[in-house]
Amino acid sequence: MTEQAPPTIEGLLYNLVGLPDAMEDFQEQLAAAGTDVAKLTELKIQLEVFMELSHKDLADAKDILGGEPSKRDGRVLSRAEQLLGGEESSFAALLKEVQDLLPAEEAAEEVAPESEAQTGLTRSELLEQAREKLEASKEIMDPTAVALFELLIAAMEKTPATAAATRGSKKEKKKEEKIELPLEERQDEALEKSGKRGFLSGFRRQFARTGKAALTLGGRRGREDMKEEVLEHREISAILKRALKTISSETDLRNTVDQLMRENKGVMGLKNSNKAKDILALALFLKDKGLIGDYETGLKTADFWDEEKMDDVVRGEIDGVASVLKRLYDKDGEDGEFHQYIKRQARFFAKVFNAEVAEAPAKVKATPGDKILFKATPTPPLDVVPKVETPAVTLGGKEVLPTPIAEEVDATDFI
Amino acid sequence: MSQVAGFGEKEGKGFPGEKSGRPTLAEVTAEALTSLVDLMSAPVTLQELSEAFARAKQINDKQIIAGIRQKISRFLDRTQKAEYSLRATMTSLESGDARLAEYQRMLDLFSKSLDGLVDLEEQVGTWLERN
Repeated sequence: MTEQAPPTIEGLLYNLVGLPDAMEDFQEQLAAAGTDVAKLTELKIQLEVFMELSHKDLADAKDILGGEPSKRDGRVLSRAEQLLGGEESSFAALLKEVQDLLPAEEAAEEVAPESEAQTGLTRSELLEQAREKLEASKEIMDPTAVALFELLIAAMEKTPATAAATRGSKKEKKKEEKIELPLEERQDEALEKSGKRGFLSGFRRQFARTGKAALTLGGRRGREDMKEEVLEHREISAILKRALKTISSETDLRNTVDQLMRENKGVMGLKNSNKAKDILALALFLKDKGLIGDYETGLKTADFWDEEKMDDVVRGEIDGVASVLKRLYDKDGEDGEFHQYIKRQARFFAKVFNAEVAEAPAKVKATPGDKILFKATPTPPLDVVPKVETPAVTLGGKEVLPTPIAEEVDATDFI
Repeated sequence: MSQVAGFGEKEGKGFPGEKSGRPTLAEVTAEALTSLVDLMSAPVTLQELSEAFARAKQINDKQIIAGIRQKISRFLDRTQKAEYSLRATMTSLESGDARLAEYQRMLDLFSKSLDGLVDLEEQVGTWLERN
């Protein structure tokens, strides 16, 4: 695996002094993007990641230089602070400009959680509220959805708030001054404030999508019950999503996952490849289950891992996912959607690792607690792929993805 | 330049302290060598800008002085970037490398000019704030 050299002060200052140039580059890209949603979305992600990297550069440079930098270095630091400073900074203003240019439907993902999150709650209060709502809704909710919410809440409880959470503290303070409104009123208020006509209809489309997903999951209940369930599902999901957003983001991880998602081959040579793979699996699973709405939200879900705590957190997460998978096995039966999901994922992971994969059998037998094996052969050139290791993951106390990727690919071994 | 262009497209073998998608050391080194021109022009630019500032102050033209400040800032950004890339290149060289002494000599030579430019930028900024 490629090792990153430690930061040098020259490298950090080089990046920081280049911020005005970078700003110009972004402005040019913005002008070139016009109204192309895909380009604007990509630009938004790039800008967010770049800002996080630069914040980290600035913090590292300050640490290294200490309290008394030279006049020249001090100039670079203070200019960078101005550009990256607060919400009124040049980069933040540019990001807002990009967000504003995204159409209402795209922006709904940004606006909706934000508006729903005007609850005046701190992170721990949000968690508490999520737990209460989950408890109150357990009776009417699909067990799978309950399990997923439990998993997310558990993940949040375990995840430490770190630097990025601190950066978000101003927002948190602002939020604390707001008065909680019912969901519908908050939606209306957001619509009023944003002036975006498509916002509510975007939300309704999301609602319709969620409703469809819930109908698929629930199956036996009547339509009215489902509507109620969907409302609960949607509200809890929004609270959790928002809470996840306020938790620290880990830039390396985001880059890794981002690259993975975009290129389907990017784990090679990257620092956190195993972790990224785990997280990717989790994000894809949640996405597939409709808990997270789209690719971008999937990335944000993956954001809350902290590199320092990565192993414990990821292992815990994957254990949690594994227990959900087990419940799905129990519930779903041999021909259920989950087995189809596994087959799709097998092919996807094979693609990720540039491996061949055999067609999975039409029916897959499963016994809870059984081993799930995934064998794949990395085929890219060795200079591109130094080494890929599979993580040790447990399902019900047993390893489920323990096989080193070095042998033949056989998705039929999945169960 | 482009810190932004090519973002996320590299393999993570980046400039020391950098993440994937940033310039590689080879790129920075190449940039350092080509940007020596910036460093070399620093003394001339300092003198030109100082004289321009003095003339503009005499006629109290804020617009020109604001333009001068902008030029100073951008020139400083470029030359400081060149300086850091040279320094980074130096840290990557073996201790016995003959180029080290030469690069160090260049940096020492221009160090005074760069400090002078920082001072000038500060003076111009202060003048604009007061006026």
